[in-house]
This record gives sequence, structure tokens and C-alpha cells, in this order.
Amino acid sequence: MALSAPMTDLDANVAEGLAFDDVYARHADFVHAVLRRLGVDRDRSEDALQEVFLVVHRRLHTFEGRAALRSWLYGIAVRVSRAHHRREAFSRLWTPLFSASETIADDRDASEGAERGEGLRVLDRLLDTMPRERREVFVLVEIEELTVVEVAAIVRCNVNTARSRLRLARCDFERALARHHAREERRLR
Amino acid sequence: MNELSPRARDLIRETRGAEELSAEAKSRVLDAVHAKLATGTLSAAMTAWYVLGALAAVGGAIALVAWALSAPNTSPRERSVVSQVELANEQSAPSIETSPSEATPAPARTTAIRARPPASPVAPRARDRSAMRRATRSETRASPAEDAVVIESVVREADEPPLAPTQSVEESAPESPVVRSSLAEETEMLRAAHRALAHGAPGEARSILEDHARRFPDGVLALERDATRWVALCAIDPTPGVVHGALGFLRMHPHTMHEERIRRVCRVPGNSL
Repeated sequence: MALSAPMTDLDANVAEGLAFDDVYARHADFVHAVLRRLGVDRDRSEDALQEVFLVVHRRLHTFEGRAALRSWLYGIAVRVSRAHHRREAFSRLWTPLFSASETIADDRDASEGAERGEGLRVLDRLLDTMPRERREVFVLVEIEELTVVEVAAIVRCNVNTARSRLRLARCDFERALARHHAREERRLR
Repeated sequence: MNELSPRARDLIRETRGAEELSAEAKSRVLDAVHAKLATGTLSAAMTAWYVLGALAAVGGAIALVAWALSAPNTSPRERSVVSQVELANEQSAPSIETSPSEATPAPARTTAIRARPPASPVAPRARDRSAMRRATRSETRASPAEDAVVIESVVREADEPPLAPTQSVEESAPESPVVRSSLAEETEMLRAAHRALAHGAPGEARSILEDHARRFPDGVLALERDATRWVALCAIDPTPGVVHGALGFLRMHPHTMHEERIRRVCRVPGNSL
């Protein structure tokens, strides 16, 4: 499934009331992909997806259809990912106390790398080099193909700020990609 | 940088759709969402009950504290004594009404009182103190004659037969003759001191009061005695040391009914405390 699928007819009928299960069935995949690109770990992505759809269930009746349903979902996903990162940052404070859990995480990363596509792994590694705000704008514009105006509304910032973040994020991405290729070339030599 | 390089675009393009959520994972998450919504409703109801319970507990605690604060500021023992005395007063009301207590002198009164049912030796002291407190609060007079009346009323109230806190009127123990006689003696000595002061013999009053202090250092009327003693000393010779001592007494007992009189006799200014 493409990450940026065209808008469904559900978006047009939101004002008439949406069935939660339908929304979930149609959008769970792309919400999951967005969460992953925004830096949510694979083993936590299902929990994050669950959080997103709990919010959707609670707020679906308030969705007025002024924006596309996808944009609304992006907004929720962005906020859930931010909460996830906050929790991660907090739990990292305690990581030195539990070196065993670090080892387990490393093992998991290794097995994850084996089963996932190489391209995705590289993409996530490159995205990991960006600050969170830049990453959000970059993912929504370059991967999800939203406009900068939409992204500014989703991440709740000025359009010019969004443009600035996008420009810096592109620089970060290109630099990280160049470094990655240089490493690959050294490794092949 | 306005655009990504072709290399970067290629990477992004090739990763699109590479990560899909499996059908099993999708249904698992949906089930989890539904389960959480169900437990969320339940927990919301439980939270409401918890909140209601907590509010009720807080309300109860506030009511308890308000009740405790509004209750009279007396110990359970004193409350018990007061209630027993009130009961006894109700039961003995006819004898009080028929006795000529308000108009007759003290000895006749004492006789009438002794005909009443006996009381325990513990209660008179509590009763005496409460009578002293009431007298202290209500009295503002200053002259020796008026003081004598005050002491008379205090002693009269103190002489009334109090009751034991845990015994009824019929079951109360016989009153100790030692307590009664000492109180009567104290009263008599203070009356004599006040009479001496009223007749312009502060030296005699002083000797009576010192005798009282020797015999009853912790007597029921010790406060009265001390106040009268400062009046007598100031009447004899208001030296700076005596005035300073009187001032110290007023500082220790700022609400004594003798304040005005001590100030007047010892010439202590009103703002000197």
C-alpha cells in the first residue's frame, strides 16, 4: 500500500458521521507507517497506533470535515509520536541503571534489521539524524507529500517556520545520505 | 536547499509501501482499542464513584472538624462536671429558691448549704475555678468594698455543693471537711484584708495577706490574694520596685478584674504593659 494513497470517499462523507471501524480499516496502515517514519520504534508502534485510534474514537464525532480526514489523522499521529518521544527520553534517563535491557534492545535491532528491507533501515537511520521538528516536516512533505501549508497546520507552526524547517531537514538528510554512501563505499573497498 | 537530490528521492520512492501492517497486527490493535474503550468506560464510572467517595470523606472530615471547633472549649471532665451540676441544680432548684441565700450573710448561707446532699472532694475545685472564671469575666469594679462583694459572690458560688463528674446526686461521696474549711478560711482572710484596706489600714491588710500566702500558698483564692497584696503594697508605699512588681503582675494576668484598681493605686499608666 502506498503511504500517500489518494483521498477516499470517506473524507467527503465525514460530516454525515463515520464508522470508527471503517476509518480504522482504511487508515491504520498509513498511520502506522507515519508513526514509524516519525521515529516510533517497531516494538512500540502497535501501542502508538492503538493510542492514535483511541483518540480517533474519542474525537471522531467532533471532526467537522473542514480538513481532509488524513490531515486530521496526521495531526493525531504527530502528537502521539511526540508523546512517545517524551516517554522515551524519560526512560532513557534510567537506561544506565539497567544495562541488561540495553543488550536486549540491541539484539532486537539486529533481528529487526534482518527482517526489514534495507532501504527502510537506511531511511530510518537517516531520519534519526534530524531534530524532531525538522523530521516531522520532512516526513509529512517529502514522504507523505502534503503541502507545506497543510504541514504547518498539522504541526501547529507558522508556514514560514515550516518552510525553514523543511529546508534545514533536506540539508540534514542530504548530508546524512552522503555520509552513508561514503561509508558504504569504504566498506565495499 | 529547495529540492532533494535524485539519489534521495530514489531512496524515498523505493521505501514507499515497504512497511505494511500485517492483517493479524491490525486486528490485534483493533481488538485492543475496543477492549481499552470498554475498560475505559468502566474505569470512568469507577473514577466517578471514587471521586464521589473521596468528596464524601472530605465532607465528613470537614463536618467533624467544624463540630470539634464549635464544641465548648472544655475538657471532657469539665463538660461532665458542668452537666452533672446543671442536673443537680435542676433537681435542687426548690431548696435554692426557698433558701434566703441572696439576702442573708455568709454564715446563714453556709448553714443552708450544709443541709444539701454531700458531694465528692474532687468536684468543688473544678466548680470553684469555673466560678472564679465567671466572676473574673463579669466583674470590672475597683473599690475595696466592691471587691469584697466580688469575692463574696465568688466564694458563694464556690461554696455551692458541686457533684462528682461520674456520680449522680444520690450516689455522690461526702464532701471533704478539709476542703470546705480551708475555702471558708481563705474567704474569711481575704474579707478581712479587704476590710482593712477599706478602713485605710494597708499594713494590716498586708500582714493578713502574707499570713494567707503562708497558710494557703496554692489556695483557691491565691490570685485574689496576690492582686490585693499589690494594692496593699502600693497603698503603703508605691516605690518604683513595688510599682514594677505590680506591673509584672498585670503583665502575667492582663485580664484580671483588679487591673483598674491596681493601676489607680499604684499609678501605673494605661499603656505601660
